[in-house]
Amino acid sequence: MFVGWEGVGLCSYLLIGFYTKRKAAGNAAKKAFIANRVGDWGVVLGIMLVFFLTGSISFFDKGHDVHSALSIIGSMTADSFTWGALLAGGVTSAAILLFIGATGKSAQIPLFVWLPDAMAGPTPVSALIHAATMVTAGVYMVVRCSAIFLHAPTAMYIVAIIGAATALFAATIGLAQNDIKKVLAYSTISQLGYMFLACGVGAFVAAIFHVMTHAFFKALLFLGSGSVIHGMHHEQDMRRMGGLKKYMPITFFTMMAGWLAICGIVPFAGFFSKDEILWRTWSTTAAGIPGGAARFLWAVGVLTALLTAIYMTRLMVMTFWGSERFREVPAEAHGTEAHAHSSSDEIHAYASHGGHGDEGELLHPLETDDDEVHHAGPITPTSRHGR
Amino acid sequence: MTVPLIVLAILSTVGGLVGIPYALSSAVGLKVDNYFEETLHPVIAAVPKPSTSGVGTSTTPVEPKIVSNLPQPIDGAPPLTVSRNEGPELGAEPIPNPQEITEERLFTLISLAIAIAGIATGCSFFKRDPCWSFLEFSRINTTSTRFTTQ
Repeated sequence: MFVGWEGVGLCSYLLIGFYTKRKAAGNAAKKAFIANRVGDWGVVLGIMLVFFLTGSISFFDKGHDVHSALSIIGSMTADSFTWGALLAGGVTSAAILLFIGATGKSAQIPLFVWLPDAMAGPTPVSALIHAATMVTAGVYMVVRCSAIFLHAPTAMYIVAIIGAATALFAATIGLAQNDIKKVLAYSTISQLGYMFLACGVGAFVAAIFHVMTHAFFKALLFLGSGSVIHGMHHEQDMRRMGGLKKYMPITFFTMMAGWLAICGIVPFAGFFSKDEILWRTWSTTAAGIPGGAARFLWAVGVLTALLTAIYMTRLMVMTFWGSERFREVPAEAHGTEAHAHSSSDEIHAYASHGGHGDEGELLHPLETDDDEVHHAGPITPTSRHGR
Repeated sequence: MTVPLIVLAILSTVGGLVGIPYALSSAVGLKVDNYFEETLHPVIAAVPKPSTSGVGTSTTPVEPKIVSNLPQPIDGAPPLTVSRNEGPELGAEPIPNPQEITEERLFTLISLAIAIAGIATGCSFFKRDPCWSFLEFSRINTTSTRFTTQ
């Protein structure tokens, strides 16, 4: 598992820095690499401690003589719920060290800072690595080591608290983002927090279920956002979008499925997994989670679900509905024609094709500097076509 | 790009049906077990029952008899045998009692209501003024960057 763990970390680093000529992409790759190394320090120490305690690092029993680390820990007496257990060098310490690794890989507080910047990579990479596969490795590890965590009630409590805090924290940030990929990045952090909340209350199956459904709808939303960005000539600011529904019908309808799924509307995929997590949080019987704490964690989960529905609706409204704000001209473009040529011309070129059929074939990015296009200045009320 | 989008949209729509809990499937007369939970049955430890001495605050050790996964035959050696009747209960939850089912259905309705309320709130807040121009962070003339590290 550790080899795969490091392998996806390396892939992530290399793919974030895919655009080698962009300094921001290089910096984001380094940031991701360093944050992950901090987490990996915890994983390595956790594995060593598990080996010290059990004499095994295997997930599987091998014949009569070699037992898995999980089997051996499973036969031990569970640690008691005390803060001292964190530093006692027992199962709780091992669980916490492993969880530190999970916070790095799965972008949880405090090691979440790298994931929003990782959006500097190509959008398909964001869809695959930073929504569906790599970032969920931490959740997978915690679930796979459920026998260890169930023997460490203090660690379980911390996992639940960190998960709930990250879910709420990232959701509030996502609400205030204007970059379409950043909204999805913070949404990913928030949903990962949901998964850790499930792990912390002992709902390991619900956590993995949410990993699966989240992979579907978040990969869809990332690929859809990539389609939008492509159509908008590498514009990622939702304030410069609007009204794209009629130009990009396939993207709109597919993203709508992802939107309803992440909001938790029945019968879409996200509904079942989020509902399961909230229910398991309320009704948890895990040791280390007092009844009052379970109610509080459930309330945080509910608030996060509400915020999730709000910021995802905001994303859809700002992108696909409302007025076509890409027709408005950036303020500095009044004196610089080069800037005015950015997004509105391109959408016009797109619209002139009729805006139907295979959207991907209709969109041809212009050969301009992406950063220059993106940093177009303030929009003035004057419509370019109204002059 | 179109085909992956459509495939993922289909999965986002129906992918959750593999994990419908008993409380919901029984509400529509299907009464099927949670397939997803059953699949993960062998590798996920069961949560021990709460102790009567006060959950979470007790120093009494909880005794979850947990094993990891079912033993695998490797290199011809016979696996350890773990009888389900004798050993610890693994993975799948037993069918909950009627009171739990009713409670779970109630919480499902609450979840659904929250999702609908969120969408309604989002629509009402952002349809009229999508950019929320009265807020500082929403003004387009603030520095708009794609990457924070720039």
